[in-house]
This record gives sequence, C-alpha cells and structure tokens, in this order.
Amino acid sequence: MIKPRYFRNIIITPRHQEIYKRLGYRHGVTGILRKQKYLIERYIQEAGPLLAICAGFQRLVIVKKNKTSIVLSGGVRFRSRLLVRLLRDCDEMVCMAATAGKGIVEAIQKEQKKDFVRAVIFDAVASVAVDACLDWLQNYIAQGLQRQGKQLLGKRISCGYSDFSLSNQKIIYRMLKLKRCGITMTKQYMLIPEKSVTAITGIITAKI
Amino acid sequence: MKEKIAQLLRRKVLLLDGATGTELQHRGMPPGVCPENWCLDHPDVLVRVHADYFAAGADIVYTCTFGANRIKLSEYKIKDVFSVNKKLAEIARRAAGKSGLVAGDIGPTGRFVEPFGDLAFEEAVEIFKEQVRGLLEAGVDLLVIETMMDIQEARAALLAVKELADIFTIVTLTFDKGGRTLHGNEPVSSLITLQSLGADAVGCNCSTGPLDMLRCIQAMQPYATVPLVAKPNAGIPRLIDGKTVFTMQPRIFAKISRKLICAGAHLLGGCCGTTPEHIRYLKAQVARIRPEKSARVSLCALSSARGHIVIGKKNKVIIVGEKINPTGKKKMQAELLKGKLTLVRQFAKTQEVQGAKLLDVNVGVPGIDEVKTMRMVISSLALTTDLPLVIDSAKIETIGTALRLYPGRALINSISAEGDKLPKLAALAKKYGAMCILLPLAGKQIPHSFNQRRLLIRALVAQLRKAGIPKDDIIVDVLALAVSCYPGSAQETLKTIAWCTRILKCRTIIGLSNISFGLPQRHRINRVFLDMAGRKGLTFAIADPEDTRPLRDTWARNLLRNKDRGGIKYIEKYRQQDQSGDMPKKVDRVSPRERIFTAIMEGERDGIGDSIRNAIHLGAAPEVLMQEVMIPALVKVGTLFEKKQYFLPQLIASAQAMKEGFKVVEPFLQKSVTGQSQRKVILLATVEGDIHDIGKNIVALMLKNHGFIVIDLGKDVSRAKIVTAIKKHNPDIVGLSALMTTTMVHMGGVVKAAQKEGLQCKFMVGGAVVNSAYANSIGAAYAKDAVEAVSLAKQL
Repeated sequence: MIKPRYFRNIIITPRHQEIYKRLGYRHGVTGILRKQKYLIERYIQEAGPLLAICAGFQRLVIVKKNKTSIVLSGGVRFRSRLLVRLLRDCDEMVCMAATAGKGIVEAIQKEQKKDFVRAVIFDAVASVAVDACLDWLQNYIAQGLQRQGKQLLGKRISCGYSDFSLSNQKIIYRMLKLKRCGITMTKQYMLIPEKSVTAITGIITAKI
Repeated sequence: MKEKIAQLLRRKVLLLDGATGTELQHRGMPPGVCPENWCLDHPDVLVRVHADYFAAGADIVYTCTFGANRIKLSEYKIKDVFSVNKKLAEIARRAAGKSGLVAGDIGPTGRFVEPFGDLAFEEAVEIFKEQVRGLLEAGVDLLVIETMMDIQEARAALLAVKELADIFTIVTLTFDKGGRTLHGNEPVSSLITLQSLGADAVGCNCSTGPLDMLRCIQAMQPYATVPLVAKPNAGIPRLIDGKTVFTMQPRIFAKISRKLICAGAHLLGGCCGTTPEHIRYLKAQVARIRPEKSARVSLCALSSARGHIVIGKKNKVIIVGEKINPTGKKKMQAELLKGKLTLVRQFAKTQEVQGAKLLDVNVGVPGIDEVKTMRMVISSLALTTDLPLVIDSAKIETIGTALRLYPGRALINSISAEGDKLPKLAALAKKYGAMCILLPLAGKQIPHSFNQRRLLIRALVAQLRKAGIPKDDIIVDVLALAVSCYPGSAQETLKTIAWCTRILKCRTIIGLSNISFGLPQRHRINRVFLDMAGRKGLTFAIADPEDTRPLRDTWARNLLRNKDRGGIKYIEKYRQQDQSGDMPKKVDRVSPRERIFTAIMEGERDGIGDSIRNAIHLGAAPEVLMQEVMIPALVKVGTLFEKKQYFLPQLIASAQAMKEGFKVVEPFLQKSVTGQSQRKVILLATVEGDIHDIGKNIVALMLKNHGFIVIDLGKDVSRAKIVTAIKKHNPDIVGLSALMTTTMVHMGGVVKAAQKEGLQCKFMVGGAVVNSAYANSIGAAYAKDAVEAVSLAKQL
C-alpha cells in the first residue's frame, strides 16, 4: 500500500463556462446585460483568492472482487454493484479527495447576509473548483502511470451516488487521513468545509 | 561541444531517439521495477536499445536516467544517485561510439516545487545538481530536462545545470491536448521563461501524438530565439484486450512528424510507444529538409507561470498596475509587517480586472525584512494572478531573491548608474533572463532637460549592452516629473519618449502619477498626459489602471504643454470640484415607475430606494407601486428564469433589488390592503444532519419578496425543534430542504412527527437529491427551485 499523497497550492482555474452552467446559464437562451456580466466576472475573480485547494489520493491494491463488493489489501471492503462494475478490469483502486478550503465557505456564509449574488457565485466557483481539482488529480496520476504501463480510468464515482452509500465516506476519510487537508466529518458522513468531496477510480495494469 | 551542436543545428534537423521505457518493457523489463536499476542489472539490453536507435538514424540518444534523481530512486531505496547516473550514462556512451551524441536525461522528481508545492526551490535545485554531477562525470555531450509538467521544476533543473556547467541544454515540457501542462503552463509562456533563463533548445515531449504537438510548436515558433524540440508519443495509448497499444504506425508517425519541422522544430524524436522503426521512418522523412532559422535573436516579452505578454513595436500603452506598493498605504504596511497578504492578493486581482497587463511589486516598508516579504509576495502572486510581475526594489538582494524564485520572466525596476548597481543588477538580469528598466540617474542630480537625459540614456544603454543585455530587454524610464514643481518637464519627457522610440529604438516607461503630484483632480492630468505620451510612442506606464482612459481636457493639456505657467488656470478651474465632487449629474428622463421596474428586472438594488421615494413624493400610491410595478417585475423575472432566459445570479439580484424596494414601501402600505393577517406564514428548515442551506436561503428570499412571512429555523434542525416551531407559529406551510441522501430521510420523519401530533400544516420539500416521487411518498409537495417554491406556496 502506497502512502497517501497530498497537494496544496495547486492552481485550479475553474472554467467560467462550467461556473455559468452550474448557475443555470444556457448558451443561446440566457441573456445577460453587459453590466451584469461585468459584475459576475468580478465576483468570479474575487472568489479565486479565497480558494485554498488541498487534495490527496492513495493507491490501494484490490485483493478480492465479487458481484457486490470489493476488498482491498488491509481488509477494507466497499459494497456497491456500481463500484464493482466501474472497477471490473482494475487491480488497483485510487481514493481521492479535494477541498476548496475554509475561507471560501466562510465567505459564502457571510455574503448570504450582505450580497446574495456574490454568495451564489462564490458557491458555484467553489463547487466547480473542487470538481476541477479531482480532474487535475486524475490527470496527474494518469501521467505518472503511463510510463509504468498502467492506465487510470477516466470515470470516477463519489460516495452517495447510486448504491455507493455515503457511509463509505467514513472509510475514505480514515484512509486518506483527511484531517491533514483540514477536513472534518459529521456523524452523517458529511465533510466540513462543505465544499469538499471524495471519489474513487481504478487503475488497469496493461500487458505490453 | 555546445558550439558543435549549435553548428549542427544550423545545417540539419537533429534526430533524437524514441522511447526507452516502453522499448525496455518490450525487451523483458517487468512492470513495477525501477527502470534505472533494472538497466544496471541488464546493461546489454540497454546498450542494444541505444544502438538500435543510432542504427535507425538517431543523432542523439537519451541516457536511461529519467527517474535517476534522489526522490525517485529513494522509492526503490537506492541512495547512490551520482553513481547510478554515471554508470547509465557510460552505458549510453558505449553504445554511441565516436560519432553519436549522448544526452544526459533529467526527468521530474514527482514532487511539486515552491511556490506550487512543498519542495523548497533550493532543495529542488540541489536534487538536480546531484544528478547532473553524475551525468557530467560520465562525459555526456548535452543535457535534456524532459517531461516537465511544472515550469518551476523545469527552472530549478535548468538553474542546476547552468550553475554547474556551460553545456548545451534542452528543456521540454509535456502539454496535454488542450496545450497546457498539468500546472496550467502554456507553450509560449514556458518558452519565454526558459529561453531567457538560458535553455539552448525548448519544446515539448510526451502526452500527445505529433498532430496535437504541432499546435504547441506552431504557437512557440514566432517567439523562439532558440531551436525548438518535438518528441511526441506514437499517438494516444489505448487499452485493447488488456494490452496498452500505441496505435500510430511508424510510417504515419513519420509523415505527420514531418509537419513539425515545417512548423519550426529543429530537433525531432519520439516518446512513449515509439520504436527504432519510428525513428527509421522519421530519418527518411527529414533527410533532405533544412531547418528554418529561429524566428528572432531576442524577444521583448515577459511571462508568469501561466501567462505572458509580448511587446511589439506598436503596442498601445501597456499599463503596469502600481497598487502593490505600501508607500502611503498604512493598511498595506501594517499587513505586510504582520506577514499578511490579503490586500496584496486583492490589489492583484482588481488591477487585473481593470486592465493592467503587468503588476509592479514593491514591499518597501521601514523595518521590514524585505527579502523574506518579497519571497512571500512572489509566492502568493504566482498562485493568484497570471500577470507577469515587475520587481520593484532599491535593494539588489531583494531583486536577486525575487528573480530566482519567480516562475516566469520578470522585469527589474530599476537599474541605474548609482553606486555599483548597474553591473550587479545587469549580472542578475543576465543570469535569470530578466528584462530591466533603465533609470537615467548617475548621481544625486536628476537630468531635467531632454539633452541631459539623452546623453545619459545613451551611455547607460551602451553599458548594459556591454554587460550582455540585448536592446530588446531594456526599457528606458523617461522620468515623469511633477509639473507643479518643474514646469515644462512634461515636454522634456515627451521629447525623450519620441527620441527613444525613433532614434534609439528602445522601449520606454513612465511612472504616470508623478506628473500630477500636488495638483487637484490628478486623474485628469494623468489621463491627458498618458494620451500625449502614447502618441509619442510610450510603451509602458506604471499607473492606477482605473486612471488610464483617454480624456480631453483643455486645462490639463495647457498645463502639460507649459502654456499655463504655474498651473494657475488649471488650479482655479478644478480646486472647487475637488472639494465638491466631480461630474455634473445627468438629467434623467425616465419615469420613476419605469425606473423601479427596470431596477428589479436588472437587479439594481442601489438606486431603487430613491426611485421609490421619488415616485411616492410625486404622488404615486405605495400599494399601486407594489401591485402594478414591483410584483409584476418580479413575476416577469420568475417567468424569464423558468424559460432559462435568466439564470440564478439574475434571479437573485432581482430578488435583492425587490427586497431593498420593499423595505422602503412597507411602512407606507396600509394594513387593509396587504395586512399581516392575509399573508401566509411559511416555516423553513434544513433538516437534521444537513449543513447545506444556500438553496433554502434562496427560497426564503424569494418567498419574502412575494409577500410571505418566512420563519427560517436555519440548518441542521432537529425533528423535535421543527415540530415545536410548528406548534408555536402555526404556519400555513412548512418547507424542508436536504442535499444528501442520508439526511433526506429526516424529511419523512418530520412529516410523520407533525401528523402524530395532529398538526394541520402542509409540507413542501426540495433539495439536490429530492424528487417528486420521494415528496409524494412522504406526503409532501415538491419544488425543484426557488421560483417553483413560490408558485407552489401560492397554490398550497
């Protein structure tokens, strides 16, 4: 089992297109006045310095698979048909997590009382940034694997999706030692800061 | 050898080898082992790989030392970095014979370097030096720093090489299909940074096939002062029947790669998936092609890690944001002294939005550790902004530290002939490839006249050029002095700009706000002067980016032309305005009702209160305003939102404008018309265990605007607390929200508990994972968003 790796100071530039999409913008349908666009862009810019991205991942060897569960080295078991389907061809699994940090979440709370527009834009930026951070992690891992003759799956799933229960977040939290990224977890397996996410993907060892 | 390689490159395209890793795997290296160690155990296999590449036509082979740095080797518990590198380079030397060239290969450490990661910059430099020493000992002909995904790590490796030997060095980064490295570095910025730092050839390798790499080479070519390198993969690897297959056949690979030479590549080879066969076909394709010369000898351009600016001969004046400077800013001084950088980051962002293309950075505060603070600021700004930086300090040590750490090509502000500054700063500029601002000061005396300035500038430019700084890298500060103290100085500055531009062929810069020092309405003088200087050919202005739009002002112009001696007329004209505000107010011809309607439609909350007060003052009935103007505007916004013609920020901005307006109207409204008794009461809560409440808060805002009385219990509210609140407030409707599947179940619990207590209220629910089926199953109504929640609340 390889130890978890953590990344701070990753430059994640959330794609504006994604932020607009998340806020409900539909290309060719939604119309924005120039002054509104200027304001929205300004708020997106303001959100940038508030992000304190931290991410981590860990590679884990899959020792056993059946139709409903996956067992990792060390005896950890995940039960989910969806996860089993995703990792069908994989002999390793990657657990990942990312957070947008405390600052942006506090700013979202504060701005809801002052300027709600700013709050929803900050909220969208943080969500898109965390997603983009997981994309970044996957790219990073994939580049390293290429020279080892291995491949990373493009897809990933998160706890709470389909039959992959949110309670699995507890296992990922413990394995990745997410406290090191400043993340804590509630009894209902929710991550704090709120803009934090975990995900799982797989590694295929290819034959040459 | 360095000159020999340069000469070869003038004559022909140099062929590099293909993949080593995948080739070794084909020849028996199992997955998961340390390639360097495996090669030391199987030197004959490695010799054969190298020899096959030479036989296929490669001029240069890379040593198998891609991962032979301290960090990578420690993963396999190997400590003797020097010896591993030396031995593997000797194997390559053996295969190369007398005619082949051997490039010592340096790959990434896998860690991220300061300011983008936790590996200290100096430690990174030291790690690379350790590897370089081993390679040099074995007598490699050149060095290659390859597959870098972070410009800062590439810089650390290049500095390590340059500090140990004067050897031909290639640097290649790995760009994805979108043309960026994993760290977001793009080809042109990377090229500008690396070629100015002393790389002898720059380019790209790995990640993509030749076709995608073509775009990177095409982007770099116009700005390259050094030969370009391309080493693409044999296409994108695919997993077919459990095997990794690089699908691009040698013939196709070679044919497409030929285009890379036409686009400007001078060194060509293959990366992952390529074989000696690929190189053989490549050799046939490039045999008769002579490489194009590099596009230019020098380049006036600046870069950050992820952005750049190329300064042409006829640019509009480029604005250098002046605000990251604590002079006269007490709050910033206090922050810097405490080591805080919030204001620095904010100023960087606002100036970027306002149109600055570069940022001047000065941290000079009495009593501060300037070197330490500058390091912190540079690190922070590298993460905050894509704009290149201008390093502004009077201290040589501060500038040196900043240039070493800065992950781009910076501009030094400034070099003058005071003391021994010029040779020392010129040496720093040369080592780190920085551009520099030349300040025409030789002693304590300021050269006031154009003639004095001209002589001094000519002499200092000559000294800088002698120190090895090309003219393209020199920006002359033409000295803008306060017209209030030195009448006529503006004209001298304009003459100097014209002379530098037309005769000396040097680019120029001014500190714009100096010109208006001590005068009222300074922005007028600044803007008029900027326009005048721009017409004379000024290249840069250090200024407040907000203060740079052209302005026509006869009084300011006369003052600057020295036709208003002492600025008497100007001061007379503007002194009053400075005290009583600036612009005359515009006459408004729009009716107050229209203005209120538009304010809500456009989400303008600033003026809506005044518009309502004005309308009431002119005789409009508040209830009529509410019913005929404000509510219809809000309903129209809701309709546009449902049709997706408006999106969330617009909906909320309108709701906020309405809220502001309602605050003004409410006291005027008669109880009989919209009496409290007629308004529905809605109790809102995000259920137990759930902390995500922004959606619920949007619903609350919308409901309030539509006249509902909203009691918001907040987030993570227990079942018991909600039931108690229902008993206390007797609401018409209870709205519950939840974001997660684990907390959604509490909604049903609340409904059941309320029914058990015999409470008669209706329930509506919403949230990301909630749907109408779930709502039905628990006996509640469902609203997908805030607008639907309002309609639903009206119906229930």
